Amino acid sequence: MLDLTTQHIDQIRNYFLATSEDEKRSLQNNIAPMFLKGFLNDLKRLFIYEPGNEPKLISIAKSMGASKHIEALKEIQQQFYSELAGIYLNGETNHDIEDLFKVHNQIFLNEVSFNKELQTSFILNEREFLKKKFVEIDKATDINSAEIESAFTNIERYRLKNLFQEIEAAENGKSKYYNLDKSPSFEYDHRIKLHWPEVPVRKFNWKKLAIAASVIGLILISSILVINNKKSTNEIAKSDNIKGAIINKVDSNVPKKDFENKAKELLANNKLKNKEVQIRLLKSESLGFSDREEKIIIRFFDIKERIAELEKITKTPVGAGGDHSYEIAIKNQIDSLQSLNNKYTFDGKTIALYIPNTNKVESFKLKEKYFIKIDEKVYSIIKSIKPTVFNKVTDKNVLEKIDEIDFKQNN
Amino acid sequence: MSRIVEMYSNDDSIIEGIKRFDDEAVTRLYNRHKSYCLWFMNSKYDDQNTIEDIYQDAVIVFIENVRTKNLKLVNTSIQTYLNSICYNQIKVRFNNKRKPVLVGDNLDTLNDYNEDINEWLNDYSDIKTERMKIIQEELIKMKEKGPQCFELLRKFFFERKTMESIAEQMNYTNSANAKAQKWRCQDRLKNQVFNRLKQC
Repeated sequence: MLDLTTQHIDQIRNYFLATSEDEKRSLQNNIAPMFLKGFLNDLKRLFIYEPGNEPKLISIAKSMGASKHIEALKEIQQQFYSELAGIYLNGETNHDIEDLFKVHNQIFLNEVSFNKELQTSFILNEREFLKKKFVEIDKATDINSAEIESAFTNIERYRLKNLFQEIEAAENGKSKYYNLDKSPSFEYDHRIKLHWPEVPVRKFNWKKLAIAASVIGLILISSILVINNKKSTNEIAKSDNIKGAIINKVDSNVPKKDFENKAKELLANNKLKNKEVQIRLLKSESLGFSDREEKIIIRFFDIKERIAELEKITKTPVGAGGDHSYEIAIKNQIDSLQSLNNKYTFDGKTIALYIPNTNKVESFKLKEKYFIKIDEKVYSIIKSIKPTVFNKVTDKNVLEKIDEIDFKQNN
Repeated sequence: MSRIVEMYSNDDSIIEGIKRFDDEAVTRLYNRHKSYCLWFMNSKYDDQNTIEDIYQDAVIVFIENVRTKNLKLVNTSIQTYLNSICYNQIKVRFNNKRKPVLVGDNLDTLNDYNEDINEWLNDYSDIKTERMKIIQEELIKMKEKGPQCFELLRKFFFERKTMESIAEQMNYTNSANAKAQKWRCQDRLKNQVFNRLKQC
């Protein structure tokens, strides 16, 4: 009783996918056992002259003890047409191709047609790509008139803004810190520094203090009236006592809230945002399919967002005499988060990934070893509660096996 | 930029770079010949957008000729070749009503290269538009979702590399494995395309 093995099927595949006549002849001569040569001829006749005759394919396969390899034989048939269509596309031909054209083998003709369309698609895509590239080159090496016009407009706006600043400075005299009253949202020490020189501190006696207080009061009231009438880029914060904060918008990075409060809030809220997905654990103990489906939980922790939040608060100027312990705490947290970047932990069921969320993630198990594919790159992973660096797989055999599992399980 | 200028300092090196699908060679080609071609066309045709368009199409035609027809320039230069294509295109746009007068060019050589841009770039107009559009779109999706597959198919169908060369460049153990993967990628693309065609 004949019984074809996987090895025989591989020999058959190699024969049908051989590129040249010499290679085919050599493979056929070296094929063992002898009965396989007859099988090859029967298959070839079927592929060329009776492409859609599945019952005959099954019958031939049965006679050779290859019933369990029917799917593999059908795949070989498709690959045979595809291979010959590829040869034809390159402007070459052989006996098999000529025979297929002679008998108008429709499956082969469809394959030839699709190959040509595929080639054309690449050419058309390339043309579009070149056009876009030329536009980019022009941008990098040329300046168009709209850009020059826009540049002049911006220069003039900047010049006018500076002029307005000078006008205001001339009208108001030398400016000072606006000491903020003890309103609920501000601490006295954390004055928002403006880009104006500080008023020197002076000591007054009581009489002088009273006179100065009334003068200052008059100046304040008239300044408020003048500022209210001006159109400027400054914002006036309202309070019930009309002694609001004047925040200079020249430096728009200066935050409105007090640094310490913000820092306290951020440090207290130190839970990392994460996204959880459940995916299949694809595996194959042999070259065939595996029926058992296992799931793996993937948890993405976006540390970059958290680091950005912390870094933003560190750009806030604390001011002289401020408490730097929060700064140190924030810096420590940033350092600690950065040390997690591009690492993972894995307990056999859940993988925690300290990378930005992506849809392109798959997990594999091959001979008791675990692998993860992220954005087309494959890494081997081990069970570890300690954050571990990804180990990229470079072994071609492993990569090909994983590719094969991926393809079979997803198609 | 000076490194590119040094690498691609003459026509032969640019042509070799284009054959290798080196983007730097394309950039150098485009920049090196643009100002003269535009100046040359400007004297006949004052629509700046149109002449830039003509120049870009002329460069594409040149690149495709080099890659697919193994173009060799004999006793002439890339500049002359491009000028010639642009000159012909301007003649077409003027409907041959008047012959452009050229200064500073060897008029004899300009007629040697009779590429008609429109004819060249419309060579795929007979292929059904909707189907082609879907194949192109699915290829672009594949480029994002499966760049390895895209690259493999591109090398075979567009760059016309052999499977041996592809296997070496893409780190497959041998050409048979590369072939198997190519077939899988092609099959995947076909499924995507035909699924969409069914929905149309």
